[in-house]
Amino acid sequence: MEMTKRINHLPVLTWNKLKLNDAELLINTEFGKVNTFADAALPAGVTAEKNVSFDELVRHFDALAVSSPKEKIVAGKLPIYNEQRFATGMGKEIDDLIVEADCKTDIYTVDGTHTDPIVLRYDYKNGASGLSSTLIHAKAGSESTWVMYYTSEGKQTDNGLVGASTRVFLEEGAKVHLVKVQMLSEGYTFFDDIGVISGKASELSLAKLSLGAKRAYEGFNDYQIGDKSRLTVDYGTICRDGSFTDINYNDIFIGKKAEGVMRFFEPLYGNAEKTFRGTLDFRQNSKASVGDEQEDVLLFGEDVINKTIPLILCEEEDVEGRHAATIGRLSDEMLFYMQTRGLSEHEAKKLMVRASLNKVARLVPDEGIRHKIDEYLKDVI
Amino acid sequence: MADTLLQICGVSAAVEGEEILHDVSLNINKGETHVLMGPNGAGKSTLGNVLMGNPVYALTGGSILFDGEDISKESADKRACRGMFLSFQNPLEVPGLALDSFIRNALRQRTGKNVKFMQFNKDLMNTMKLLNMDPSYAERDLNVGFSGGEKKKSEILQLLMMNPRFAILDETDSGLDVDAVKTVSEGIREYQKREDGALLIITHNAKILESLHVDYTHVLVKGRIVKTGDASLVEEIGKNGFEQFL
Amino acid sequence: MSNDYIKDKPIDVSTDTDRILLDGVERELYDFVDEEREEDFYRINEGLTEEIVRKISEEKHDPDWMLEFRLKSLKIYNELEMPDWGPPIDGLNMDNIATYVRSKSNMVNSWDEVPEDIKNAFDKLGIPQAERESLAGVGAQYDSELVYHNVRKDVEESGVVYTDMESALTGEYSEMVHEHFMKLVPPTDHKFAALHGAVWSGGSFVYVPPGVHLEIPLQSYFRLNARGAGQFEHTLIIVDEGADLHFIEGCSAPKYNTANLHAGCVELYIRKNARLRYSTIENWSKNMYNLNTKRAICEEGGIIEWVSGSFGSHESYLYPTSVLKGDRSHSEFTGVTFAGKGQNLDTGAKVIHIGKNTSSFIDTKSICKSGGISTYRSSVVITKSAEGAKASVNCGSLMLDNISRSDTIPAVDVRTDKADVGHEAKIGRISDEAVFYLMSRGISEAEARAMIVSGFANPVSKELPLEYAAEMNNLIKLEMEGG
Repeated sequence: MEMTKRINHLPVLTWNKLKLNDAELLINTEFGKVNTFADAALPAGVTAEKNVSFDELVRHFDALAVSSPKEKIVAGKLPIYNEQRFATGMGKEIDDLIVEADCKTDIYTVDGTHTDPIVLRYDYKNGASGLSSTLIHAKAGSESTWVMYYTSEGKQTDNGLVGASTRVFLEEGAKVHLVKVQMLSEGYTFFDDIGVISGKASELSLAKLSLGAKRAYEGFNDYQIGDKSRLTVDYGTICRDGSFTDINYNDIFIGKKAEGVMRFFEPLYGNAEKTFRGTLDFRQNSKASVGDEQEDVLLFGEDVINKTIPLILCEEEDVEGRHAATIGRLSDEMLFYMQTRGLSEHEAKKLMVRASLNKVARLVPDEGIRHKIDEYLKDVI
Repeated sequence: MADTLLQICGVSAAVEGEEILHDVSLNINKGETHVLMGPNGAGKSTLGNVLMGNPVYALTGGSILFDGEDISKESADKRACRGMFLSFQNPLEVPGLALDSFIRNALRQRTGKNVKFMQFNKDLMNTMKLLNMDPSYAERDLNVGFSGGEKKKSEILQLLMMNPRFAILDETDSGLDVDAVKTVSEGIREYQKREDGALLIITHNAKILESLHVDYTHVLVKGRIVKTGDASLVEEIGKNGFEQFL
Repeated sequence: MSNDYIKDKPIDVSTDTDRILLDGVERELYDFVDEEREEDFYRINEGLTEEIVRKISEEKHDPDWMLEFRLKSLKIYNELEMPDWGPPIDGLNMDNIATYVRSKSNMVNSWDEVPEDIKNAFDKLGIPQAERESLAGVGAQYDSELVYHNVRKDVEESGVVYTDMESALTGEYSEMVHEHFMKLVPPTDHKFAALHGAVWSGGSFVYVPPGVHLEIPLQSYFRLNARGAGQFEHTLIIVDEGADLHFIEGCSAPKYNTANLHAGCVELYIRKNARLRYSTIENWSKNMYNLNTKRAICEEGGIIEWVSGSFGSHESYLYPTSVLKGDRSHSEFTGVTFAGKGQNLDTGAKVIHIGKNTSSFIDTKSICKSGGISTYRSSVVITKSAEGAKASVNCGSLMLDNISRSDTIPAVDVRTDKADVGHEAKIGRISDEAVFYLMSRGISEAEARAMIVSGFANPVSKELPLEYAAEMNNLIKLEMEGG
C-alpha cells in the first residue's frame, strides 16, 4: 500500500510557516501478517486474547466503558486532538491504518501483582515490515511490568517499516511499568503510537529508548481521568546523522491531584532533524494537579535541525505546571563544574549523552536487553 | 622565586557589571596552605571562581599566573589540566553518571593517558575508606541524592583522586556536622601530606582549620585583602570576629 | 454620518452590570465617548473596495507610488486567507468598518489650536501634561490622522526628525520613507499587513541621526474615537549608527458595542551599534480587534528593546518581531498581558537570529481572569548562519480563577549546533500563603491579591518610565476589581 498519514497533531495550532502543526508519515510497503513474535510466557493472572479485529477492540472499549473524554470546543483553539474513541498520541489515522492493513490486536488483561517483567519481542528479519497492536488492560490494584523490544536482523541498510500501536487502560490503583526499547537497523522507519487512560490512583511509568531506525515517529497521549493518578515518562533517543524524528507527547490532566512528569533527552548528530511537541493540558477542575516537563537537547552537527514546541494549556486555577527546555549546550553551571575537573566542553557533552541515556537504560528490567543497550551505546557514542 | 606556583597580580573582578574584587594580589608557593577568611559578601567565593575561570565572573583588571604563565584568559578545563582544582560550595548533580566513571573520565582527560582499571579501583576504595564513604557511593550517580555532607566528601574524594597541584576549597565546611568536618579535615590533611600540593582554603569558620597546618591567613573585606598574617590570625578572628577589620 | 452600524450584530462585550458600574467610575479614564459632531469630521464609507482605497489616497494627496502600493496591497488582501490558528475573527466584518475618519481641522503644533473636544479627550488622558513634564516630543492621532505634533526645540536642533507620516511622504525625507515603507513588513506577510498597506493613514516618522542620544522619550498617542471605524497608523523609525532613542506608544478608544479594528504597522530600523527602546501600553476598549504588526531589524551591534503591556481590546494578535541580522545584535522583549472578561488576547514575540553571536531574551507574564483567554505565542528561530547565538525564553502565567484560560505556545527552531537556547514556562496561581502573609500585616485580601499580581507584572513595569508604570499598575488594579 502507498499512502500518506497526517499524524502527531499539535493540540493547538500555531503559525503554519513553522511546520509544527502536524507531521506526515509515508507508508509505501506491504505489511506481512505479523503481530507478536515470541509468545511471552504469561504468568498466572495475565491472560491474552489474540487476533482481535479493530471492530471487536472498539466493542471491548464499550464493555469496559473506556472512552477518551469529550473535547470542549474553545474559540480559536481548534483543533483540539483528533477524534478517537481511545485517543493516542499520533492520532486517528494510525487507527485507520490498522483497519486498512487488517492488523489484529492482542489484548492482555492483568490481575494481581507481577514483579517479573513480561517481555514481548518484535524481531524483524531482512527488512521485513510489520504492524502490531496491543491493549494492556490493568485491572484494579494490579501491578505489572512490560518490555516491548523492537529489533531487526540483517543489514543496517534494510529499510522496512515497523509500526506499533499500544493502548494501556489502568483501572483504580493499577500500576503498569511500560518499557519500550527500539534498536532497529539504521534504514528502518519506525512508529510507536501510545494511548493511555489512567484511572483513580493508578500509576503508569513509561521508559523508552528509541535508538535505531532512520525515521522515527513517536506519539503518546495520557488522559489522567482518575484523581491522584500518576504518570512518569523517561524518554531517550539518539538522532544520528541523516535521521528524522517526530515526537508528540500529551499529558492531559482531568482528575484532581494528578501528577505527571515527563523527561526527554535527545542528542542530535550530523544533519539529524527532530521535532518535539510536548503538551501539559490542565482541564477545568483538575485541581491540585502538578505537571512537569523537561526536554534536553544536545547538538553535535553543523547541519542539525531541532524544533521544539512545549505547550502548556490551562483552564484551571489551582494547578502547577512547568516546562523547560535546554537546547545546544550544557548549562553554564554544569559546564563550569565539568571543566574544573579537566573536561573540555565537547567531552563534557559526550559524557552527558552517556549519562542521560544510561538513566533511561537503567529502567529496563531485563538484564540481557540492558546489556545489548550498553553495547549499542558504546558503539554509537 | 623558583617555588612560586600561583601569582594573583592586582586582580579586580565583576559579576553582572558590579565590581566585587578590587586589586587583590597574592602569591602562593608550592606546598603552602593559605586561608582566606572574611565576612559574608566579602568576595571570597568570587576570588575562588575567578582563579578557576568561571565565565560568570569577569576579570576586569590584573592577571593570574600559574607556573609563571598568564592563564587569565584560559577556560576552566585548561586550568584544571594544568593542575588546578576547585571544590564547589554547592556541587552539581548529574543523574546517569556514576561517581567512579566520572572521576575515571576526568583523570583520563587530565593526564591524556588511559587509567588502569584495577589500580584505579583500589585507589578509589582506599580513598573512600579514608573519607568514611560507603563504597556503594562509587556506583551512585554523581552527587544525586547525596546529603550535604556526602556532597562535600565527594568533592574531597575528587581532590584526592585527581591530585592537583593547587586546590581551592570553597566553604567546604559549610553545612557539615562535627563528625563530617573532622572527616573532611582529615581528607585535606592527606592532601597536604603530598609533596608540593598547595591549598587556598576559603572559609568563615575556624573549626575546620583546627587540625590543619596553615602557613598564611588573609582577611578579605569588601573585596580587598585588609590583613595577612600567620596561623595565629585564625585564632584571633575566632575570638574577636571580623569587626576589627571593618 | 451613517448610522447603519447600529444594526451590526453586536460582539460579545461585557454586559455585566457590576462591571458597567465600575467602568462608569474608573474605566471612564479611557472609555469615555466624545460625541463627534458630524459636520466636524470627514468619514469615508464603511467597506473595502478599490474605490474606497482610491478615495483615501486622493484624500491624503499620496504620491503616485503610494496609490499603486495601496492597490497592489488590496489585491494581496483579497487573495490571502484569514489565519486559521488564532482567536476567531469572524465577528469582524470589513463591510462594517470605516477605514478613514478624520477631523476637518488640520494638524497643529500647539494644543491651543486643537479643536476643543479633541483637546479635552487628550487632556483627560494626560497627554499635554506628560509632554510638559517628561517627553521630548509628542504626536497625537485622533481617528485616522494626527491632530497634534510637536518636538522640543533642542531635540529638533540635534537633527532628530519626528513628524507625521503624511508630511514625511512628501517632505525632505520622502526618499528615505519610500525606501523603507513596508519593506520589513511587506503586504504579503499576512492578510492584515495587506489590509494595512491598502488603507493606512496617520502614524509617525522618526529619524535619529548618527550618534545622537535622546535622553528623554518621544511619544505617539493613538486615540480611535469613531464608532465602527478602523485605525491603520504606520510608524516608521530609523535609528542611525550609534544613536539611541526611547519611543513610547499609547493607545485607547471609547467602548462601543460594535467592532472597531486596529491594524497598525510598526517598522523599526536599528543601524550599527544603535539602540531603540519601544514601549507600548495598549489599552484599547474591549470592542477592539487589535491585529497589529510590529517588526524591528538590527544591524551589527544594534539593540532593540520591546516593553509591552497589553490590557485592552476584545481580541489581539500581537507578536513584535526582532530580526537580528547584524552580528552581535541583541533583542529584549518584556511583556505583560492581562485578559479579563470577554477578552481573547493572543500575544507574544518572534525572534529571528541571522547574524553571528546574536542574543535575545524574552520575558513575559500573562494573567487571566473572569473568563478571559490569554495565549502566549512565540517563535525563536536560529538560522544556520547564526553561530554563537544565545536565546532565552521565560514565560509565566497566572490564573486568577477557573473559568479563564491560559495557553503557552512557544516554538523554537534551531539550525546550528553552535547555539544555546534555554526555555522555561510556568503556570500557577496566587499562593494562599503569600496572601495570608500580607493579610497578617493588615492588608485586605483584595488588596493583597492585587499587590501580588502587580508584583508578578513587575518585571515589565520596572522597565517603564515612572508615570507609565503607575498607569500600568492602575490598569492591573482596575482589572482586578472588575470581575
